[in-house]
Amino acid sequence: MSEIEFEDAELINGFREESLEHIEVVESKLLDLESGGVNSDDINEIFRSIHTIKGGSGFLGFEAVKEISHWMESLLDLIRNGKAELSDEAADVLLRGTDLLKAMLNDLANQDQVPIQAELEILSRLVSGEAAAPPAPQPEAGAAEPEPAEPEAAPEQPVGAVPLIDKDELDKYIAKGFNVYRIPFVKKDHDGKRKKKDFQTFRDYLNSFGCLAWEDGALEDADTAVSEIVFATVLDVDFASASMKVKESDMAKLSKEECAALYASKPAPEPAKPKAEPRDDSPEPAVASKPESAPAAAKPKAAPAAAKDSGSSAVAATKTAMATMKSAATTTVRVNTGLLNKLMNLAGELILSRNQLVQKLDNKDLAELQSLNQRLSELQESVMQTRLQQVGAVFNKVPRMVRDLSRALNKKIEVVLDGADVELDRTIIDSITDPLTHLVRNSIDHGIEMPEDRTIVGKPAHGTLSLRAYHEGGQVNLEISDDGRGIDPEKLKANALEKGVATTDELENMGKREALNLIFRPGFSTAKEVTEISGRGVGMDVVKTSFEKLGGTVDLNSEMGKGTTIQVKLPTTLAIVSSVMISAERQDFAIPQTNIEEIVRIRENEIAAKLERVGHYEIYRLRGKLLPVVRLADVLGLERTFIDKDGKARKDRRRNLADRRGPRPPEDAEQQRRTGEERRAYGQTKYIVVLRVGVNQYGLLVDQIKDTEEVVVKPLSSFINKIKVFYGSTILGDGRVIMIMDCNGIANTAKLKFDTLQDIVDQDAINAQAGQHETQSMLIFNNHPEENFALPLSFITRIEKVNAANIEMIGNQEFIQVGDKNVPLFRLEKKIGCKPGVFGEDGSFYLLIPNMVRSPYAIVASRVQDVLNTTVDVQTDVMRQEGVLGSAIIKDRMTIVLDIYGLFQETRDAGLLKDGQRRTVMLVEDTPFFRIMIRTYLAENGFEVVEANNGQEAWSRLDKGESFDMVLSDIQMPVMNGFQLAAKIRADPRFKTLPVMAITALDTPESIADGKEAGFDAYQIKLDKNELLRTVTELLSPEPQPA
Amino acid sequence: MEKQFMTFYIADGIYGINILGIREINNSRLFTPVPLAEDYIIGLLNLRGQIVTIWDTGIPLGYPKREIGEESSLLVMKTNAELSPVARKQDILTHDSQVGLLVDRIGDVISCDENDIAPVPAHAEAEVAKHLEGVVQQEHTLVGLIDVPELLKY
Repeated sequence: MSEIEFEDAELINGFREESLEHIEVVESKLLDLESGGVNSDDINEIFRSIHTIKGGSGFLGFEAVKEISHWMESLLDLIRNGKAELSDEAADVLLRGTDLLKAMLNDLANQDQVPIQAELEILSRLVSGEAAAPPAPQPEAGAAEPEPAEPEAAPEQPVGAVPLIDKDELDKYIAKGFNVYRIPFVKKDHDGKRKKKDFQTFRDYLNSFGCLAWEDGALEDADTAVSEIVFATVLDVDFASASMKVKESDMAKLSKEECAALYASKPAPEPAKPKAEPRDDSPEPAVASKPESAPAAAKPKAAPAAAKDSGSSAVAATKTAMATMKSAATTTVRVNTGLLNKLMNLAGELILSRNQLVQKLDNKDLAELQSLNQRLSELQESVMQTRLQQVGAVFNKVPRMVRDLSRALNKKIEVVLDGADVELDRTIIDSITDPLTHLVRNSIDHGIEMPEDRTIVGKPAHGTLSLRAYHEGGQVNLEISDDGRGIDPEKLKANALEKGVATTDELENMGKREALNLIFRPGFSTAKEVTEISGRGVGMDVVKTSFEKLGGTVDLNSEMGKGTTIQVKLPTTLAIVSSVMISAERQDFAIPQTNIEEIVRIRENEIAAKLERVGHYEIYRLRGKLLPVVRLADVLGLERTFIDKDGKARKDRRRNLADRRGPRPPEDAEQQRRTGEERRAYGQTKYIVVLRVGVNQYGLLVDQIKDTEEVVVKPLSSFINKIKVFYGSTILGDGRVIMIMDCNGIANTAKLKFDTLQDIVDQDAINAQAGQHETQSMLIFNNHPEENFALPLSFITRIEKVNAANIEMIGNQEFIQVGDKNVPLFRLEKKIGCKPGVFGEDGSFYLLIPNMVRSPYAIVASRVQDVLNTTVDVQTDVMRQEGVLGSAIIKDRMTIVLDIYGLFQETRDAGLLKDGQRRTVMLVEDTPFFRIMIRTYLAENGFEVVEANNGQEAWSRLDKGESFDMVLSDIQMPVMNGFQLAAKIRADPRFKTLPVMAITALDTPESIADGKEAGFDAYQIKLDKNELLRTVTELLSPEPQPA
Repeated sequence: MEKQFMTFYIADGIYGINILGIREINNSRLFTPVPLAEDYIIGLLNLRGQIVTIWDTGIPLGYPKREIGEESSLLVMKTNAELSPVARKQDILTHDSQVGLLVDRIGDVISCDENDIAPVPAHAEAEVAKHLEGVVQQEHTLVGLIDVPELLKY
């Protein structure tokens, strides 16, 4: 039948949603049972779920749904009573049944179009038992089941305020989990439906979906509008009230005792005929529809006595199951998302009201206000949590899929699920189902080998597919890994070349990881042939973009022969985005942290030297890679200004960053070594925020990096939502509205074309190796006036001007006093074949004090010429000797480029430190983002890094006696801040020599002074990688001592 | 039927908006500019946790961009969802988003009968006239009655 009552749309929706939830339960439980054997709790739960679906479908008239669920229920009943086995066939057909139900529920209007005959046949065969030939259940059932309330039966019932069934019978219903309600039944609400369903009387109508136990005598009286009835049904209060069209508050749910009381006050029931199966099972296939109470005859192959016994125990089981369901029902409630959004807004408004209150109260730091703050943020967080859903909603679909696929492919695969309780925003959960399914399919199809192949290579015949979800750094990680054959990066490369998704040059310089990630490029698919299982026209690129649309990233790693792991990082919610606040031209913006790869600090006076203009782009070379740089102010059309020496903002007329008309970099070497304060006062520090969009990266040049903040995304109004550079807007804690940037939108608006960049890379490859083209600050100096030498400036700590008159000789070694130390001199002519140094007439010369080497020596230079930012093309074959890197033409003169490690005969390995011993740095930082970034920097350079989240944690580890070579700490942290930590370390005699360094975004002169006072040995502004490494190395190197 | 309009000034022009469509009048200046937005979008305002898009009301009415002055005020409109049943009965509509209209100065509330509302004079510029639903004579001046949904389509 396809007669849908559209006025019942809400009811039907409720039924569908509820039923789909039941189906989920049934499916996962069935899979559990299949692998773990039958247990009565699970079987009961499955049974109950199917039963509920049957009840609802019967009421709403979805005959096909009812029929299949009825037969499934019958089979399940036999299984739970031990009369049938959960054979493979049974499990199969039950699972197929859930699929059919799902399909029907998803399209209820055409539920009768779903072909169910095959499954029905199997079900009925299984129900009737192996011995019996497929019976014709219909006539049997018709005969066996007492006819409930025939239309003509109604007149026979004396009309009056009397029970229609006796107390025992009603008790039986209650025992079966029926709910009994006392309801004012408004006839006209049901009249249409009754007539449509072709029932003569209301009593028949009611009995068609429950059991009418009692009525006040007015039910069939045409003159009365409302009749009070007592009605038993499997439906819960909300569903029952909807179906009865009665307000929940008008319905009274009767307990067993209340029912008894009802009977006590009424005359004995008229000798009732054995009526009463509520007609929620249609008569036709009604074999054992209520198996525990139906006459034994209805159950083929079941002895009457046995049926009775097991029937009653089943009743008990169902009853307890019902009870648990009831208690579970009270812990959750469906809420309209609109209401939740409103709550969210209200929480936000409360915070603003609080802010106003704080201002009114003159910013007093009252304990009450703090507690109010705390509650408010808790409130906001709790409301936010209502949007979250467990990732299990997606994970739980996997075992079924794996089961079906592995059977189809004859593979043996075990599924391991971990972290199904990790929560994600509902919208994210909805959107990751498809890509995740695709990844799982890929693993099964291409990853995991056939059992026999696995055995040959010594792996267990069973493959393992594991799905893991866990929190990390404010994000949720999903890992899909298999222990299959792994992916061969070389094959991928060959494939990529063949398909034209990568060029030869590109592939040449590609590491393993990058090669593996080729798989995500558009137009790439590893499958030699498109199989039915994984080739559904969706490439891995689509998978990747689906995750990226949600603000996530995908990374693939694989070991040949060992397996493949795909890691997906997702934000927990789209509504709250962890953002880094930045500013451009004194306007603040938020950038979602998920897009940020790293942040590079760049001094304004270096911009001209470090950014090259290529075609339409400005390019920054980030560790040899070309990074197109977009200036945020330009993308947004903000007027450029620069802060002049006098601190005033002026319009900047330069057209682009690389325009050399800007403030010239100072050329005096000493000026290069200005202190941080001076530097900030003159050239401002700017930042390149390295952003990832898809496979590409670009840099966004901004003026300032502020703190990170969790912001609640508010969608843009229709007036401005066409502006693609914005993702949304948000209200900060201080009440300001700021715009959240859309990194993809910025790239599009700036018309970044990453393909053209490829040409530039190619051009470079022709010229020379990319790395050698990196501009470097070179110190040019003389020893003999005719010979120019060059050393990278980064190798020099400082330059001292001294006088030859102060040289002292100890043995063959010359020393000179610098400050309070005697420094041994290093003369180039003694090491390399060059002309001896000639000092100035007044005897003055310079000492270049190197860093990054442990040598105490200082290099003697007669004259310091210049510091140049230049790309040096070093010819290495001209002057081959230790201490010389090669020669280069700098400013039209041949210049010898020195190799500082060679000069001092030191080795370059073991990070920057010579002594080869791994140094352990304790990194104290509360922001995971910075923690990871700094950790990576340090680890790359051979340091052991131990992390602590705040000062307290760091201190307790130190106090316990863990040993570290130095402490690197943030300043602003919860519990114990960096100042407190430093003071504590300094106060303890045990850590007298432990170097402590601050790394922070606080760069006011006051805070630097505070830092010095607290005892920090060094103070650095976040985050200049080289400077960080240099300072750390410096702090860890022993002081130069006289030899 | 009697109708009430909140009047306001843009330069020397006087305009009115049905009071049933107005949520509140606000003097806030804490607008966050939206780069790349159309010139009639002044910015965004946080009004008790809700983000309101602020319009320069003069631009759709044919005036040059306004400077925000001492007396500038903000007419914060109700959203369509917030309109009262009375307003809906009178077919008053605003917009689905939160909108604030920045004007040079707030005037009085005027009352007039429905029948006193005259069509926009024919000599008015067509581009401007389409944002008005009529005019009403008030003492010696004509008050242009703003058709809010039409204006916000600008």
